[in-house]
Amino acid sequence: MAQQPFTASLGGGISYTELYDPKFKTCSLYFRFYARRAPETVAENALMIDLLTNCSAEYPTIAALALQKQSLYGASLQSSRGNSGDVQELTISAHWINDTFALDGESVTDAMLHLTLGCLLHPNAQNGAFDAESFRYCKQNLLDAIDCEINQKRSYAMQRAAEIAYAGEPAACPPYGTRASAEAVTAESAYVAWQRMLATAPLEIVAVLPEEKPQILPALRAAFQEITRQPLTVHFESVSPVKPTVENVEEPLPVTQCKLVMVMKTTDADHDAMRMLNLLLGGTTGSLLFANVREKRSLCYYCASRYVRSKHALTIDCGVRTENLEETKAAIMEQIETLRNGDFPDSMMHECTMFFEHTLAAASDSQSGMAGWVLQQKREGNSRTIEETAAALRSITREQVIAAAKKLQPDTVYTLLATKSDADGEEA
Amino acid sequence: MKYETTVLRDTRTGDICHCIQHPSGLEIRVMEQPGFSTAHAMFGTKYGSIHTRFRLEGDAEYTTVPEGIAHFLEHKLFENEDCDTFALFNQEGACANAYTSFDRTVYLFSCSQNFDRSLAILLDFVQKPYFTEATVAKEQGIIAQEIKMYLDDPGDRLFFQLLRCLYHNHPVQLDVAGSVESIAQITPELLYACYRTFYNLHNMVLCCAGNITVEQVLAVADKLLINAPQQKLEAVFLPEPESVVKPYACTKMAVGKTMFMIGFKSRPEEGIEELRAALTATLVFNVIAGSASPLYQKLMSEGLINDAFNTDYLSGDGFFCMMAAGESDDPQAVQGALLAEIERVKTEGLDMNLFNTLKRAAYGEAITVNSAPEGAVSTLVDSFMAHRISPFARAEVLSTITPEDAMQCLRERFCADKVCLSVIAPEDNAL
Repeated sequence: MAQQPFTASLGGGISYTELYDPKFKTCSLYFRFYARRAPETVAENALMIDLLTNCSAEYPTIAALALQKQSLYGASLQSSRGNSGDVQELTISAHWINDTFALDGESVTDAMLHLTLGCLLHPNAQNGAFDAESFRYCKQNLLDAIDCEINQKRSYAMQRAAEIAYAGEPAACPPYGTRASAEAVTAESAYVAWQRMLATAPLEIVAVLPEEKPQILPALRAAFQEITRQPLTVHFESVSPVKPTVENVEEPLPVTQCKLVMVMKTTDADHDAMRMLNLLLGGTTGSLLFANVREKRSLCYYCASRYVRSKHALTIDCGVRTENLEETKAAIMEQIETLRNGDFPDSMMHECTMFFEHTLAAASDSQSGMAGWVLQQKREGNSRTIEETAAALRSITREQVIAAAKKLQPDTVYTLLATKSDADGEEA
Repeated sequence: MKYETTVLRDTRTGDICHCIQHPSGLEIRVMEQPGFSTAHAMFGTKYGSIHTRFRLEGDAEYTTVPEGIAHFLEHKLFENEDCDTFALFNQEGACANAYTSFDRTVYLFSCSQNFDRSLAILLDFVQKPYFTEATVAKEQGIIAQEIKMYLDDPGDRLFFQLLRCLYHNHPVQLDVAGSVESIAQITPELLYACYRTFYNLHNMVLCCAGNITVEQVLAVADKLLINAPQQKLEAVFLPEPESVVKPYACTKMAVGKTMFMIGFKSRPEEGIEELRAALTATLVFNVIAGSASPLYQKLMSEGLINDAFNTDYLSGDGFFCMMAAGESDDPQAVQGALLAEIERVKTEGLDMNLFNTLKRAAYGEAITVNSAPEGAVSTLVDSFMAHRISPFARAEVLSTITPEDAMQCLRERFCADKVCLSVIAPEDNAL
């Protein structure tokens, strides 16, 4: 079973959490930096974090770094760029097999600590600029990622809806920035972004291990003690004002299925009640949207909701035929009305609680889940245990759900409008 | 009840798999993982989208069914006479789902409480089909939307376009969900015919992994499983030539950058030989085009690929191909460089340092593949579907692959006359 987490402060706004559980066969180490989601820095931050995991001063090319990782039994070092409301999340994660499985008795942990810290703190850079060739790859990766946001129609529609719903707020900034802002990034400006991240970004480090690794904390302390830090404050929750009139936006695209996204907002969120409301509405296969919009009316294959805690917003999305758009919107609003009227059985709330307990249990069965739980708790300023979190949801009453539903106000309706028939787009 | 039980052990990790031949005809595979909080179960049949023509022993004629019917059946089985099966799982706090692929249909759930009751629901509903005209009609609307969703997915279009270039007759080229037109031909009678043919317990497997015991699984199985008669099933495919259909195909869609997939068609294998071929070819492809290879570095330097580039394989009953996919403004140049590098390595031999390093990396992957219940239960299903091989065969097979095997694989499975290029290009005015 998992031991209680060990936590330590490394100073300068760096927090370290270590968890052990002997059921795991691998080690995972996460570095999560938080930056303000500002349009002028999102792209350069996104490019920079990618660059850090593609090469380093010691392994100056993609091939050299890849070869070293492969020699460590296929260890991985990855970067990811995410967002939480008005905050940009920049993550580097390293994963490797536990030393007990090494064929020659070597310490894979020592080698991966060295490699990871080398990439993070000693990049392939000279004279205040990243290596030109590595920078060029990563810039191309970023530009292509921005261009290809349209490829996944569901996530693209969700992104466009967020840009409209949160217009004028940092959360409206696209996840990788705009193409123009990405084009403007230089090897020098990305280098400055790296220095800025090390100096000012709040940093959470989480290790999830099969056993104690006493070398990790001292190595982290030694690596970061040379860095002068003045961490900025970031705000993980910032209420998005409700628009005075609902904004309806339709954008045509040559696709066969429309994507409908409805954003609702609330100014006074009881987070646990909203979590329950979201599960009842569209968070499970027993939810109102699944049971009624999909199963009873056969209007769509998926229809789901998601609570965006950071913005006090609720997003509902589905893929539908053009001729069914209005019926689907009405059917979705009927389910909200059902919640406002409290017209759902107690058994549904009980099932949602069990579903939530299962998602918490499932998180404890993976290293990424355990790290994610720690990071989520810190982000939300909670010190609840998993059991306390489940108990909080269990204590939510029907009246709280009704009250939360009544506070929801429609804000944005975004439609990616299909302009293509099934027969279009034949192969040449 | 009497069972035939085989206990398989992974000497590297200590993982244990119990393979039980249940008197009902069902094979049950269980990995007990007591430290975990969840348990996962999968109940699968060797029936997928490629099984469009079949007969049972004694049948005079082959039955030919509409494309997408295996997937349709998967959807419909969730609806029993009294209620939606999802509702029953929800009452137990379990998360249920199902999937259909080329060669299998699998019903699954995961839970952290009430495992026995959820397993009972799973075994019960999969053994009790209930199809009517009305429920079939209702599902046609939902699946039509699923099909449209995939029609708009460029990755999915790219993949099936490649398969249609590679395969003349084999039904692997058909979309798993079929088309709006093909699913309109599905009737309750056809669904029952497919069900009776393929949902025989001798053709199925139950796999469980996580915080459960073998005894727990067997107690539920003993109560719920209905003895199945032995039956000889014959699924037939039209003869498939060794050649490809056409070397190139391109479709325009709303994408941000040109996407490509290169496929090499080669001889299919069965059972442990299929695993050996897949592992060897994957190793070879990584030596030639993986992120540690000189070719990858060169293509990145020339701006011909980005970090979306990857390699993979596809294999099953009657098909085997290796694939390289990515985004590029010049897919033909990528294919040209790849073919040139393959020819160079065929002549000059493998980089032995890279070969040994990648073999070591593959060992690391084999160690961790079963480390959590979700991965373990999938491995159990995969190994059963691959002619009932051991779930721990991967590391064992890897350790025996020699450079000579790799060179032979390169010569036989990466041939310039059996290669196809599938491209999805941006629409001229997508935005």
